[in-house]
Amino acid sequence: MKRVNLLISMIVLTALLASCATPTAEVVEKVVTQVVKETVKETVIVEGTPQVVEKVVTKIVEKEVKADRWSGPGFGGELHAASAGNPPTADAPTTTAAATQYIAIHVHETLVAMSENYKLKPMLAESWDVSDDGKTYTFHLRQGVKFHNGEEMTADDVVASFKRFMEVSVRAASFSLVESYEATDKYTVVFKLSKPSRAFLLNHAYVYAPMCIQPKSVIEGKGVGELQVPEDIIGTGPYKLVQYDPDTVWVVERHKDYQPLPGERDGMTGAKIPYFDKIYMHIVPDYAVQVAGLESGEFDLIENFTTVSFNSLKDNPEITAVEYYPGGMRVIMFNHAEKFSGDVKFRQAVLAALDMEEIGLYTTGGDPSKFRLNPYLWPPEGAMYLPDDPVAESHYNQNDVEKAKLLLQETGYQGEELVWLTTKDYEYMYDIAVSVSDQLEKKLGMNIKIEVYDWASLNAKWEDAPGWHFTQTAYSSYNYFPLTLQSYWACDTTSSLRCGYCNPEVDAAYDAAAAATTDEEEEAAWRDFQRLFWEDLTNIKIVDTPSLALYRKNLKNYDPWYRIRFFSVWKEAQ
Amino acid sequence: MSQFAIRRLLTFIPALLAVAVVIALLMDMIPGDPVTIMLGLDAPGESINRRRIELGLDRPMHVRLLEWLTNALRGDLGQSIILEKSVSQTIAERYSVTISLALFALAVALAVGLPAGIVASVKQGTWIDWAVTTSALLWLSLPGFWIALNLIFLFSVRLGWFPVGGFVPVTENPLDFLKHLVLPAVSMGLGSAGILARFTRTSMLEVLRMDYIGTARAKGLREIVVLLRHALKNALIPIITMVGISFGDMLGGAVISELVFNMPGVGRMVLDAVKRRDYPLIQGGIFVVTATYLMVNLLVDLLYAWADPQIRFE
Amino acid sequence: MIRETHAVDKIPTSLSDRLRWDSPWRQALRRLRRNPSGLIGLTILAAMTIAHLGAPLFTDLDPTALDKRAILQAPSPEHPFGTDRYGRDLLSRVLYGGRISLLVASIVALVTTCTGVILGSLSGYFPRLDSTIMRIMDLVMAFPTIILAIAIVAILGPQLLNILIALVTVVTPRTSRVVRGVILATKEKEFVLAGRSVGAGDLRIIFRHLLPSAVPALLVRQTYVFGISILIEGGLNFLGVGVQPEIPTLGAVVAEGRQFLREMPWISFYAGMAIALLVLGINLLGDGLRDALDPRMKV
Repeated sequence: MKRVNLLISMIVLTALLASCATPTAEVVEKVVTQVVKETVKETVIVEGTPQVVEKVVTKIVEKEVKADRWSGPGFGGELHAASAGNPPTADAPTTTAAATQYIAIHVHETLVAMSENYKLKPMLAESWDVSDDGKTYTFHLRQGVKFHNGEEMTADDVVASFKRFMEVSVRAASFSLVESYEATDKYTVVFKLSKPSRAFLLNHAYVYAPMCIQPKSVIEGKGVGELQVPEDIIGTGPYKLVQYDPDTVWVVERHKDYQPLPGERDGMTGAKIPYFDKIYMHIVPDYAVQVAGLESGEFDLIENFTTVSFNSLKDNPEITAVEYYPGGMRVIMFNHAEKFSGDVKFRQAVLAALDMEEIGLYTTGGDPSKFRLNPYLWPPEGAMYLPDDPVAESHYNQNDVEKAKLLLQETGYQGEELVWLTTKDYEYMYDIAVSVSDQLEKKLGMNIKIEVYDWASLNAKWEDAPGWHFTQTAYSSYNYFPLTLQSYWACDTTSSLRCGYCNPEVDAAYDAAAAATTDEEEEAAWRDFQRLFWEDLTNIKIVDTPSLALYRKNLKNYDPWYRIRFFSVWKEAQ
Repeated sequence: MSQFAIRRLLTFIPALLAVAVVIALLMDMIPGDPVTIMLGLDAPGESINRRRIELGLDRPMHVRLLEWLTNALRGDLGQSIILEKSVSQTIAERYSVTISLALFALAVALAVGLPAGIVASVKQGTWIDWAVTTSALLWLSLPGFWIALNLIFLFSVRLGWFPVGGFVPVTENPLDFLKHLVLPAVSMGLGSAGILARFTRTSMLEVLRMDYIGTARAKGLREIVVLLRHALKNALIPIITMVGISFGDMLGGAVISELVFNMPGVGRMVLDAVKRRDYPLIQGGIFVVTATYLMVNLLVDLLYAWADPQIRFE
Repeated sequence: MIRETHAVDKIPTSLSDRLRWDSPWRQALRRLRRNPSGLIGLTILAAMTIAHLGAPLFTDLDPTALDKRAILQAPSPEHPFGTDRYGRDLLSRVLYGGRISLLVASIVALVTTCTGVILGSLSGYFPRLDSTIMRIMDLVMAFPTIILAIAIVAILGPQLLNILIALVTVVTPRTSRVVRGVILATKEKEFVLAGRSVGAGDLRIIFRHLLPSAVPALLVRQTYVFGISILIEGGLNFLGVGVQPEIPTLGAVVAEGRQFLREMPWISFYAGMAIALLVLGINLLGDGLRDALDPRMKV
C-alpha cells in the first residue's frame, strides 16, 4: 500500500515538474460566441389534448472560456505552398539565396526590420538611441521574447549572433564600420562605428543573409555547416523549422510562445500572427506540376508559373491571380574588363539602338501587361522613386538606330565576334539574350555569338574576366533595400556581378547615400547615382517586371510584398 | 554456380574503380563549383574562397579521389555539399522511387510485350501478326520524352485521371502511389514492350519450329499446353536476357521520366547534383547506379544459367 | 550469314556472265522490293529526308526570325504548325531542325561502323584482346548515357560535336559485339583455315574473308543505329545538352514547348512527331533489310 502511494505521488510530482518545464501555450481568457443546439421540451395542445414534445432550438450564447492563445477564427490548419528553388542551406546568414530567405522570413527575426513603407521599425529591439556624432548605436531589447527552444532572448544572444555573423556571413563586409560591440546589461547592446552611416541600421534589417538573433547556447563556436538542421536552427520568429529536405520540402510549425508586436502586420515587422499550425513549402521545379497542384487544391499557393498559365488562371473562380509592383528590373550586363564592352561609347551605342518594348514582349510571352517601361531605376511603388530626371528620360528606350550607328563607328568596331553568355535555367535570361542580340545584329550588324551554359558554369564564367562581352540578370532586392546595389558595383566589391566595373563617382554617390543624415540628402545622392547609371552604363536597364502571385481564393490577407510571407495569413473555412 | 558468381562479383571492383576515376576526372574538368551556387551571386570573393578551402575543394583531384575511395571501401560515401546530409542516406531515400518506377515499367513491358509476342508468333503471317509487329515497331520508335508529354497532356491536363507529376510513397497511400506511377511507367515501358514483343515473337518462332513441338502436338496435347508448357519455357531463356537488358536500360532511362514527371529518384538526384556541382553526390550516385546495373546483369546471367542446364560458364 | 541458294560453281568469268549472275545481293534486293514494311519505311524515310533537306522549298520563313506580333500563336494558314514564344514559325523550325537529326545520325552511323568494325574484329580474332576489349565495352554500356553527355558538353562546350562524341561512345559497344559475333562464328570455317595454311596474314584474312560475312548483320545493325542516334540526340537536346541557340534541333523544340504544354500543346507535338516519323521509317527499313538479307537472322 505504501509503495503504491509512493508511486502515485512520484507520478504526480513528475507530471507537475513536467508541466512546469515544457513551454506550454499561454492560456488566456477568451470570449467566444458559440452556436448551440438545444433540445427543449414543450407542451403543446394537439386536438385538445396537451402533449409534451421535443423541439430542437438554436441559440447563440457568449461564453468565457480558457483557450489556447492561438485559437479562434482563422487559426489552425496547414498551408501547402510550392516553389521551384532549392534552398542551398538553412543557415540563413551564410547565403543570399532567395529560397533560404523564405525559411528565414518565418523562423528568424532581426533587431530592426523594414516596414511596408520602407521605414525601419523596431522588431527585436524595442527602441534605439544614436549618439550625436552618429557613431554609437544603443539598442534596447524587448523583454520576455522567447526563442523556439524556450530560452529568453538577451543581449548576450545578440552579441553572440553578431560575432558569428562576422565569421560566417557573406555580408560580413557590410559591417566593416563596426569597431566594437558589447552587451552593457541584460537587455542593452552598444555598437560603436568608425564612421557614421545610415547603412548600419539597414544592414541589420536586410532579409537576405540576415543579421538574425539566435541563442548563444546553440550557435556559439559553430562555423559554417556546423549547425544541425533542423535542431540548431533556432530563432524568435512566429514559426519554427521542424523538417528540412532541401530537394523536397521544408516544414515549419507554429512557435507557441511567440510574442507578436501589437497592431497590424507591417512589412517585416508589426504583428506577425501565426495562424497556421504548420506550413509546408514543397520544392517543385516543374512549373506545370505547380499549376496542376494549384488547380487541384494540392497547393494553396505557387510561386513559379509561365505568364501564359497566369493569364489562363485569372478567370478561375477558385484562384486569385495578383500582379504586384515592385517586382524587379531586368538588365543587360557588360564585361567591363573586355574590349568594346568596356568602352562606354560602345555601351551607349547599344543603348541607343534598343527598342525596350520589343524586348519586354519577348521576355513575357507576348503579354504587354506583364512589364513596364520605366526610365527611373525604381518604380513608383519602390523604396526610392526618383522621377523628373531628364538624363534618365533622354537615355532610356531611344530606339534611334542612326545615332547608334554613329556612336558605334567611333568605337572602331569592325564586326568582330562578341560573346553573349546566357543560360536556359532561367527562362527570362535566355529570352533577353535572344531578343537583344537579334536587335543588335539586325540594326547594327553586330556579330554576336550566344553561348548557353548551365547556371553553375555561367557563374564560373562571370568570374573569369576575358572571353565574353554581354550577359544578363535581374534585380529585385534593391526595390526594398536600395543600398544593395553597392554590393554589385562598388569598386572594392568582390561580387561576381561587378564584372570589372569601377567608377569612383558611383562609389561616391553610394557613400553619400549611406552617410546621409536626412531624407533629402539621401534622395539627392541617389539622384546623382541614377544620373551616373545612365551616363556610365554599368548595366543597361530593360524593363520593370511585376511579382506575380497565384493562390487559392480561400487564402486571406496574403500580400506579395517582398516575397513570400505567410504570417498574418489564414484560410477561410469553406 | 557460386564460383561463377563470385568470380563475376570480383570483376565489379575494377569496373567500379574505373568508373570512379573517370567521374572524378570529368568533374575536375567541368567549370564551376558548388560554393558559388550555395553562397549566391553577390557573395564576396573572400567568402567563396574561404568556403572552398573549408570544403577541401582546393586540394588536387587525386588527393580527393583517394580519400573518397578509401572512405567508399568502408561504406562511407561522404557528405553532400549542398544538402549537408549523408550521401548514402540521400541515395537510399531516392532509391525506392527509381526502383519502383523501373519495376512498374518492366511490369508494363512484360504485361504488354510478352503476350503480344506470343500471339504474333502463333498467328504468324496473318493480319494479327502484322498488327502486333507494326504497333510494336511504332512504340519503340517514339521518343520516350514525347510519349510522356503527350500522356500528361491527354490524361492529366485534359482528362484529369492521373496527377501531372510527383511521387507518393507506398507506405503513405498505396492508391496514390500507383496513380502517380502509371503515366511514367507507361511512357518508359511502351518502348521496351515493343522490343520485347518483337524479341518474344522471334524466339517463339524459333522454338515452334523445333521437332519436340511437333512431337507434343502429335501426342494429342492441347495447343495451349503445347504453347505454354513446351514452347514458352524454352523460348524464355533468351527472353530473360532481353528482360535484364531492358531493366538496365530502364534504370538509366529513368532520368528523363523522373525529370518530366518530377519524381525524386536517383537519376534526378544525379542530374540536379551535376547542375549544382555537388561532387560527393555525383560520385556516389553514379557509383550506386553502375553497381546496380552490374548486379542486375549478374542476376540475369545466373537466372539464365539456372534455367538452361546446358549452359557452360566462361 | 547469307545462305547461298545458287551453286557456287556459277561464279562468273565474263562481263555478260556477271550481269546475269543472280548473286546473293541481287536476291536480297528482290526480297526487299517485295517486303512491305521495308518499302513503307523507305518511303517514309525518303519523304522525311526530302522535307528536311529541301526545307527552303517548303517554307520561306526563317526558323530563327523573331516576330513580336506572332508570339505563341495557334496553327493557322500563315503558320501551319503555329509559333513559339519568340514568334518563330514552327513549321520551318521543324523542317530545318530535322537536318541536324539526320546529320548527327549519319555521322554516328558512319563513325561507329568504323569503330565497331575495328574493335569487333580485334576482339573476335585475337582471343587475348577479347576479354579486355569486351570488359571495357561492358563498362561503357553500364555508364549512364545522359550523365556522360552532360559532362562532355559541360567540359568541352555547348557544341553539337560533343553530342556526337557521346553518341559514338555509347553506340560502339553493341556494334562491336555484332561484328565480333560474326567473326567468332566464321573464324573456324574451312576457307579461313585454308587461307591461313597458305600463309595469308591476319589482316588480309580479316578484311578479305571474315568481314564480308559481317556486312549483312552490320548493315541491319547500323540502320537501327541511325534510328537510335536520332532518339538519343533528341533526348539530349530535350535536356538542354549541346544546344546552340541559333540552330533549331527537334529535341530542343520539344523542350521549349514543355512549359506551354497546358495551353499550347502544338509546340512540342509537331517536333516530336517529326522525330517519331523519322525513327519509324528507319526501323521499318531496318526490318525490311533484315528480312531481305536473311529471314532467319536474329538481330
